[in-house]
Amino acid sequence: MQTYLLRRVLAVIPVMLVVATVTCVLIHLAPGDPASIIAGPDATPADIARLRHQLGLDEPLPTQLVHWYGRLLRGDLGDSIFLRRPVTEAILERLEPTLLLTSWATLIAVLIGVPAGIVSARYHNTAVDQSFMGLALIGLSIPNFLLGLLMILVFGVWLRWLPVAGYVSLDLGLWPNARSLLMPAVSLGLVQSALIARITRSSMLDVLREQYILASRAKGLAERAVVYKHALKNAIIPTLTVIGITFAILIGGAVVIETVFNIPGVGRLIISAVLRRDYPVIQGVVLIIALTYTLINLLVDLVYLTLDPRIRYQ
Amino acid sequence: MIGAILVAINVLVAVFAPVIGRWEPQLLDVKARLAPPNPTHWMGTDDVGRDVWSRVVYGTRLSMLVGGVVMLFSFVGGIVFGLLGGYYRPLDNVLMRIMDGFMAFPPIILAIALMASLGPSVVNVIVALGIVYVPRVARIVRGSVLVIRETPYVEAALALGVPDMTVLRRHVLPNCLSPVIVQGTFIFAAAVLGEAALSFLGVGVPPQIPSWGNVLAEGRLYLQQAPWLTLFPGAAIMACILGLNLFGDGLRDLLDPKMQGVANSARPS
Repeated sequence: MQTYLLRRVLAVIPVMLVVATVTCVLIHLAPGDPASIIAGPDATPADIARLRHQLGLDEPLPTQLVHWYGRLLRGDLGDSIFLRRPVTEAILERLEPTLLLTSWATLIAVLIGVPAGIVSARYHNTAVDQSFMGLALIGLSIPNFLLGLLMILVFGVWLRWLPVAGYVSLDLGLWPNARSLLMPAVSLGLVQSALIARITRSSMLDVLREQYILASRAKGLAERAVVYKHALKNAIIPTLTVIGITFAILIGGAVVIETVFNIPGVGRLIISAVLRRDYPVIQGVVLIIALTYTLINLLVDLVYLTLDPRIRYQ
Repeated sequence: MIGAILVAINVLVAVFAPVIGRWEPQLLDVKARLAPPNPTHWMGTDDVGRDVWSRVVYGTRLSMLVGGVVMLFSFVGGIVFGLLGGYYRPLDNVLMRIMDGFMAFPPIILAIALMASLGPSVVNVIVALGIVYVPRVARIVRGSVLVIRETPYVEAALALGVPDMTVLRRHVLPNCLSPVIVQGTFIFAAAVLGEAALSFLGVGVPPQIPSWGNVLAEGRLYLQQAPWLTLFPGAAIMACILGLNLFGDGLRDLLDPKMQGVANSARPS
């Protein structure tokens, strides 16, 4: 168990090394000289040379990589070209809306997905099951940004129940903040709830075929007790993995949803950086998101380990 | 079955886009800007008077092209890396660590980052999404190869002195294809969604090329005056992805009965 734990933690190191290398090399994928592309068509040769030096592009690639790793270990992501300030500062400032949006969306996904999955499994092959699974399939077929646009159209434009777009900071109160995040979080979370529902259902169905379920039915337990006390405990483990990963997946989705609803989060930051070719910001955001994604995956594996004794003793 | 029909309709629309489109997707009908759906413009027009029906039809063509080529790209890359990794153990460690590294990026984030460097174009969208999905295919292929290389028939072939490359091509490859083919429809769907998301964000296909994502991005600005700019391309995307997901589920039940009931559909970005 301890060796497994150690192995799992150590496995993160090569992954992070690849992530850091990919983000560093990213800038060199551009056709032509990156410095003159970033500087734009109106830049003088002196501007371009200065920018090249500022970004460290005047050094050979291996040197650039070593410098990049060193800076990352110190937590220094460099300065934004356009915003003229440290990238870490810019990201930290934009973190609140993205984290809140992702958390709300995860909550919505779980609150809808898990019960829907359990009910579908319990009433397997009935009209209830089929309509839930039909809805889940439709849910999986709507891109989150389209769902966002449709919600704006219905609840913002036609019914006028909710603000069409924009973000109210948490400083101005929990309720206005939650209200501004309601539609974005639903459009982000609903799609994911379809996935959670399908996985909960299939793992419930697997467990319900087990011998001990037959035994507990045979001894006369109420169906409710069989499903919720005996089956759920074992079936929920694969679901928990998905829920953990959900948060990570939704960070990616938030990038798109923030654009739909004009939310000033990390996603807007990277999109505007792409449009301005502000490479340090792009590299910083991509790196931070990949890091979060990897650490959440690690955490999920570790939680899994403590929850399922079968894995622990293998 | 419904899935196959929806997919077939999409393919037919894509192939016959010039016939079905009725209008040139770039043609400006300046007298009919933001016109609602009518007999001349079945799905209305956009802010500069371009026919939405024709743009959605040509968007289908682009989506099918991107989906299909990204699928093939990730098949070729994934199969090569998966076969090599699964078969040659020393190589496996290095290759799989690199694949893990690539998979540590959420798909849409990696695609955006690649597009930032490559610049907006159809080819670059295909390359970026291809790079995103190669490691995913490679993982699946590698998993199958690890099992197949231990089977008696591979051992027998090697004992007879058949060269490694021939064993890989004739004995290992055909037996690891069915999970890949099932995954193919989901990659196709994910690529269609990916292209739409990238173009919607303005970092995908250049705005003048008709694509579902581009039409939706324009529609977002005129949501109030011209909801048809959002509703029609939206319906097209949904029908396409729904068809692909249904088709993929059916294919999986057909080819891979063990996987039945496991949720595996394309995860929207």
